[in-house]
Amino acid sequence: SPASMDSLSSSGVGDGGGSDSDKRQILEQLQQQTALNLIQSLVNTSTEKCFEKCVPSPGGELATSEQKCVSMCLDRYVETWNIVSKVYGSRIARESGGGGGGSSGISFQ
Amino acid sequence: MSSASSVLRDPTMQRQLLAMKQQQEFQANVAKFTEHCWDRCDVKATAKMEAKTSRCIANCVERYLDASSRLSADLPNLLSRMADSRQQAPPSSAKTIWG
Repeated sequence: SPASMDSLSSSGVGDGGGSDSDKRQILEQLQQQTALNLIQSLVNTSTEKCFEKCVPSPGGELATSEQKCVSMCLDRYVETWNIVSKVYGSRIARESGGGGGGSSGISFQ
Repeated sequence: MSSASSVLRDPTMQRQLLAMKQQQEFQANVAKFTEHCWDRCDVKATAKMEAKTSRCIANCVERYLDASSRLSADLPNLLSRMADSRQQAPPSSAKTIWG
């Protein structure tokens, strides 16, 4: 219906619902949102784990040693992530005989 | 006539959306294994990770996947056993709960 065509073109993405640049834009936005969700999940979990590990008795402020611990902890968490990503990715590649899509991992440098 | 739904019906688009979905599942699993194996392997907040710890993490992931495969392989058997028990008359207490 004309109404649904208008809503897509009125969002400023061009000449209607079917152009390649529209599709590219949708995919890019989805990709960005997915990456953001991933970072958020990583930050939430590592903050919790590192707080547990480095600040056993929360005091009036974060001691220098505790701050250093948290920093190293985050590095080790990301390192753990990268190991997991590599092992899991290899396993999937092995089991699907090298085929199957979407198994490339994101690793953090 | 082009419309918003024609974007989704495009086969190339569908392929790419499927690939993205698979990638998302992969990343979700990586996040899950990372959290689990971090705890299991007691990873320390040190300047350098010990070799035994990185081995532990790798083993943790592989063994989890082995256990998961094992479970999946046993699932048909388990499901058929569940179906057998359902063919018996349910106890009257069950009727009270669900009735």
